[in-house]
Amino acid sequence: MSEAIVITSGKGGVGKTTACANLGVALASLGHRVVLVDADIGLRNLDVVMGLENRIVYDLVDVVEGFCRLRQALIKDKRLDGLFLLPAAQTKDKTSITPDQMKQLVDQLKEEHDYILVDCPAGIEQGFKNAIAGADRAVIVTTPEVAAVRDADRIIGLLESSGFDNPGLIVNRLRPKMVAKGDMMDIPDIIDILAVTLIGVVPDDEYIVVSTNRGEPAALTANKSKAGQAFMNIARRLLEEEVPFLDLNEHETFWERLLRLIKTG
Amino acid sequence: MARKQDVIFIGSKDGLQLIFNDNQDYEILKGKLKAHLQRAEMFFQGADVVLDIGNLEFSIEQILEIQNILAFPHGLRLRKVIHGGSEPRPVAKTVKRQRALEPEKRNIDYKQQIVENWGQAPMTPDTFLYKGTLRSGQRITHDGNVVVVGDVNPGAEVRATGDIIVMGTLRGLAHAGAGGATDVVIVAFKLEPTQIRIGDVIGRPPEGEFGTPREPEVARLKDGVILVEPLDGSRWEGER
Repeated sequence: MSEAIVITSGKGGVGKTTACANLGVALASLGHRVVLVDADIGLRNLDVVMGLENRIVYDLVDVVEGFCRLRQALIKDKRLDGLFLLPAAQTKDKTSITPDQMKQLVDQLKEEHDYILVDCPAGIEQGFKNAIAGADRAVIVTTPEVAAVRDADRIIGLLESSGFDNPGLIVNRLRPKMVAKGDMMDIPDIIDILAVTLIGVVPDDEYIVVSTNRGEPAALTANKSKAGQAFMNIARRLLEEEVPFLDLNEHETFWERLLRLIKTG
Repeated sequence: MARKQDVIFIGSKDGLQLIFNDNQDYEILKGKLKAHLQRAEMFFQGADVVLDIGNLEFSIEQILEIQNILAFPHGLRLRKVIHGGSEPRPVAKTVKRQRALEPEKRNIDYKQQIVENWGQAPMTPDTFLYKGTLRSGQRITHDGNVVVVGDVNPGAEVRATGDIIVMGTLRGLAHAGAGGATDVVIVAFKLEPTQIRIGDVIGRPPEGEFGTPREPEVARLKDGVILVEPLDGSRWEGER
């Protein structure tokens, strides 16, 4: 039974595309057939994050307009079998497709793949409506910032009125040290406001910046970074596995402890 | 009665009307037109022209030649050709290209500069000159050659049925020979494209770091494979 999952946030820049790429990689490395669909027409990024930009020949709009067959537009990942990307068009805009067309497309993709991950554009306009059409489940990405949480709340409301119940929540870019000092919203604060199921917490990790720029999602080498591990765990939770949450606290080194003792001493 | 003049310009509400004596030979008319324009010099600058060729039979090439004489250096635009007293018919090629060049058109479609005239012109391709940086999401589509004086950024596209020359860095997508021609080239001061296509062959740079090219390079099709090499004038001539 295949499932289409839309990854959305409302606010831009919180890590939808990064989450989408990493969850796709993680699900494919667990042996599933996965298609990543970039619904951000006109501002496509998923191809860059996946490192597949230079392989694009046809795109989502070409498929919808009948310029090519669906299979021609799917780009096979260069590292993982069973992982494919359907890129967005860059020279068009969100009005190039309709929610109905998107739904048909997703249904067609479901015939041959286990998971369809749709990378939703920021905003609540046509791009958002297109992206959620055809999805069975929604995953919300937010960062521990008031503005991002506010937008996530708005999105959850819109999703509920479109028939999505209890979307999963990913809190991205958490900085445990700042939380410990009380300078950043912590997870219970966020859950308190949003009242949805937490499916993962991804720490702020410089490795994500590097891997995103290189087009090699962190989950490809999950053991190299906490963020990569976190995404791997989220993928397993999407598969209904029980996975304990990572311990994100950076334990003090000897020197840090010494320094602290001297300072407070 | 005075002998009928071979080449006459008449002002009308649609701009200038150019009337050719239909008992005269094409070559002579061409010469007279040139002479006439030289004498008039700046007087006609930038006007729209309706050409009345009476009962003469002009080939498309000949009309294009007239169009060129009018355009350079006098800046006259050939809008219509009237033939045998029939209804004026637009010179499709001219009108379309000019519309695309009009500045207000550029504000629509997220500033995409698009010249769409596929399958219109069987004649020698001509060149579209674009000055400026072509940014992500912008696209030039042209039946002929394209010269970009500026960079082509990632996510931008240049599609031409002829050659493509980028006098800057080509980082986006360039498709030369989009109509199927294979004897075309893509030249850039710095050729570091996302992807290039010549005819129906698609090429992308090899994976990994290769550093930036230090000299202008040319991409062409050889034995069904896209080859990139330093731009060397003599060799380029020789192999074409």
